[in-house]
Amino acid sequence: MPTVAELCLGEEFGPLQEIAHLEGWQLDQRDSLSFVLGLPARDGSCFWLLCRCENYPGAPPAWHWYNPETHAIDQPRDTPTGGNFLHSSGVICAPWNLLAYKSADARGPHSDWTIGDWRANPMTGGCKTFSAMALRIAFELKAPSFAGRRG
Amino acid sequence: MHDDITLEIATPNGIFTATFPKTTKVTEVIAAAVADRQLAQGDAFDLVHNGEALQPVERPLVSFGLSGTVTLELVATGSGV
Repeated sequence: MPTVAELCLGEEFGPLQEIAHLEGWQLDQRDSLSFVLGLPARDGSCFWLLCRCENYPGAPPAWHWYNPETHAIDQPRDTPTGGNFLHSSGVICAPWNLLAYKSADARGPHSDWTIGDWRANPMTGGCKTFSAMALRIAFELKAPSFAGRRG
Repeated sequence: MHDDITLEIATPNGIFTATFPKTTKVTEVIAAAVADRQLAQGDAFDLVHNGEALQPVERPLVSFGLSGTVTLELVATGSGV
C-alpha cells in the first residue's frame, strides 16, 4: 500500500511535468519518493536538484543539490550561492526545505523553525507544492543575486 | 488580434493559459491565475518573465514589451533568512 508521501508525489508530479515541459526543465522521477530536476541559471549553466520527500506533507521535502554524473549530493561545485535564499551554508533557506532546519541537517540555518509547522510558517507563503518550490528555485537561479557556484 | 496577448503561465498548481488585452494590468493577470488555479487568495505572488518580476504590478502588460504568445511564471514569494 502506498504511503501518504507516495500518494502526494504521485498527485503532484503530473503538474510538475507539465511545467517542466513548458519551461524546458529536465525532470526525472527516480522512485516513488524522489525526483531529479535540472534548472538553468543566470550564468547559462545548469544546476541539478535531488528532491526527497519521505515524510511529505507532514514534513517538507529535502532539496539537495545534485551531480547527475557522480550522483553525489551537496558538493560545493554543484551548489549555487547568492543572497539569503541560496544560503552560504549550502542549503536553500526556506521553511519548505527540510535541510534548512538545524534539527534535520547540521548546515540548516534555522533552529527557530518547527518542521511540523512548515506549512503554517509565514515565510512559506504559497510554496506548498513541488511545482511552487521548483518555480521559486528557478527564479532564484535567474535572479541578480545569483553569485555562481560555491566551489 | 494584435491588441491581445496570449499568456502561458506556469503556476504552483499547473499551467494557466489565457488571452488578455495588452492593456491588462499585471495585478489583474495575477488575480485571474490565482482564481483559475485555485491558489490561496492571501498568498503573495510575482509574475515573472525571463527571470524578471513584472513590477510595478499596476503597469499594463504591453508596457513590459510583451506581445504575441508569452511564457510566464507565477512565483510564490517568501523565504527564510
